[in-house]
Amino acid sequence: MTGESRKVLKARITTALVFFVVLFVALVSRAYQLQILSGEALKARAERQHKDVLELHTERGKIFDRNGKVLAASTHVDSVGVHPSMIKDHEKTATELARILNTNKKTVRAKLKEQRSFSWIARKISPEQSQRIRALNISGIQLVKEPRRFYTNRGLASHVLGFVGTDENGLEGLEFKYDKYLKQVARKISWGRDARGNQFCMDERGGTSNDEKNNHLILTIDSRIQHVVERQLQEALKETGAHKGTAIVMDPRTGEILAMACVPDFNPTVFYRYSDEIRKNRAVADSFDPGSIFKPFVIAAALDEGVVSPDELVDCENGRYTVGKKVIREAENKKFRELTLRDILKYSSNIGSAKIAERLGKERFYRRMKQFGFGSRTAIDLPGEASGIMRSSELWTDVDLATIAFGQGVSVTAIQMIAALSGIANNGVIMRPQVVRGIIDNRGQVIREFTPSVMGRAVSAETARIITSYLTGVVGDKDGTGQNAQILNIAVAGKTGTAQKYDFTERRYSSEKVIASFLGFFPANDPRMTVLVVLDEPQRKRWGGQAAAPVFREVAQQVIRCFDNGIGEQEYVAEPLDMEIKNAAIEEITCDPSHDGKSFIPDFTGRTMGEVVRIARERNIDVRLSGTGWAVKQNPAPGAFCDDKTVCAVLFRPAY
Amino acid sequence: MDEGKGVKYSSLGYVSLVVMVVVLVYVWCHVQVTEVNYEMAQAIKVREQLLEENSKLKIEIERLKSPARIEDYARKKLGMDYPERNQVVVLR
Repeated sequence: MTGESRKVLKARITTALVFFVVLFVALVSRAYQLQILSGEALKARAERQHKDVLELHTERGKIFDRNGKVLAASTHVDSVGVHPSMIKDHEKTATELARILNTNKKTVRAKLKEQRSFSWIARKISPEQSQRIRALNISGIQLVKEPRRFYTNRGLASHVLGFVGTDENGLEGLEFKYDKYLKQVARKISWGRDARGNQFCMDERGGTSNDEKNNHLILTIDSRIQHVVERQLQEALKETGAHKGTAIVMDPRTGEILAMACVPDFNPTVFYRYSDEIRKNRAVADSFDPGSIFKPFVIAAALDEGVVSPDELVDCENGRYTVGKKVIREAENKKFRELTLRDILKYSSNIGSAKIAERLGKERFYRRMKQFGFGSRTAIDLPGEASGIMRSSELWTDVDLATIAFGQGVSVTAIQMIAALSGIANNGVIMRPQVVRGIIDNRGQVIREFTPSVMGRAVSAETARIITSYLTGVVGDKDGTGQNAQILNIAVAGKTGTAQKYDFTERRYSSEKVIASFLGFFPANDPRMTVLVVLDEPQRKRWGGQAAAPVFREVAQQVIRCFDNGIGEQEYVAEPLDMEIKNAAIEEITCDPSHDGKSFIPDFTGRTMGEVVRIARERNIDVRLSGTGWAVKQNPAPGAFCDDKTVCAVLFRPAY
Repeated sequence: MDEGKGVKYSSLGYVSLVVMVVVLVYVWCHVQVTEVNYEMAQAIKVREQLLEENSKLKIEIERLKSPARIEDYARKKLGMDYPERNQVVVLR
């Protein structure tokens, strides 16, 4: 090799070396840039491209009634979105979407042309609509799953349940109050995507882990009773022309609310179509002057304090009683002279009630009313409860004391009223009203249980018993104001109320606008249900006894006849058959008057009601029947002599 | 000397074969896992769809069982009404 060629070779080798060194440095630099400098960002980008996250099917907790019937449940529905840059034929797409979604074509077209990467066209559409849109298969139109709350009975118990917003957050009622339990956190699993776009699972458990923490509410509400109450309230509104109506059914022994209805109601699925006034749960949030349904509590307090005795006569001043500068009169300008406590309630005497309150005195009267829970929240597990207005007794004038005694000048909520009367029904012990029984998880395990709790004792058991017997007279006696609440063979204790509404513009009680109400419980001797019915501004049938008492009766009758609730018709007259029989509103069957007047009472026991009636008719004996099933007891006994004035009471019981 | 070479080559062949088999089994296992992952993805999707359908059907059942609907149906279509007192016989 010559020196020349050696030089050339060396130069070539050097060139190659430089070339490779440069190349190596370039490669290392690039590797450094990719791995070290932008390594994290690129890794994340790569993961974004081949990794995905699948959101698993999760639902907001359900709401059940006391019998396990679903009142509210969630599922997923499709929402339609658009990626405007991917749309090719705007006109055609807009026409087709507008047709399926029943919306304006212009609006859809505007959305398709928006200068955004993504925008919504319609949220939470129906399954049929989403199926039709899917069938169109338009690129750029995307269907996205979103949760949606369904209220399976539409407006049933809507004021209790409340509603949720678009993002499934509770906004009102129990949905709001128990949001933290009902809310479901989304469950996600890793999801891979290969070069062809096929998806594969990257989660070893396949998303089957039990980390789902779905909680459900169990209510004390009975949807069947709730339905009956709502239906009857709606009927009453039609019949009386009242603007609004509220009704509550409560179990006095536990404080459990079986039904709570406000009419007009609303459909919580489309809550935004209704005004705040309609959506408000008036049973807990509104207070009103109670009127005469307040009187039983005044008499109960006076009896309990010993300022009056059950057999005492109260002078009712012949319908006109002056307190300070105010003259107190009876309703409908009636005039009473001396009335017993029982009659004060039966005839709903304002003067009698005012005079009893005077005997109690302001301070004691105020204290006792507070014991009944007036002027304080009941702490029911519903949001927005009002406390009513019970001004301090130090601010009362003598006139205030007198008018509050018949329910004017004091403001109460419906839930306070029913809790207070339930206290009388429950031997003087007031139970805290509650609408939620407990919270369970997905497997049905109880997470929290809300057991009945006592609010306090309002009166002694003896006083409660006496007031119950007075209230039974209000409904059962022929001249009681609550006759329209009578139920055949069931003793009802109750009180009617017709309160004038305060006119804030004229600053006086209106003679035109009234609140008609009925507050009662049944069966009187073993109370199972307390019912309050309040009708706001009835235009026809303006008295509580005419407007509200029939609603009570209809509700009670349907509950007794149609549901297995253990309320036996025979219970009330089981013992002293002859004494209390008139209070039980017993069915009377009058025989043919042309009988000879001489007969012996046959043995009715073991016979059916039809047979007893037939035999009695044949022998011209008057009978009073009570209960159902077969005859088990009779008074007078078989073989006793009877004349045309004798009435034989026969008690029936079902065969067990 | 030739015999010794033959033995060496044949044992090298065996070793290579074993290694190849092991590698193939390993690859086959991975292919299987990947296939199962694809199947799982499909199954999860189907399960999600079925769960959704199931919850929709449950809601539909509850809706059909609502007291208001049943009462309307009973009154309007079947001509029924709430029973009078004498129509109720309690059997216990």
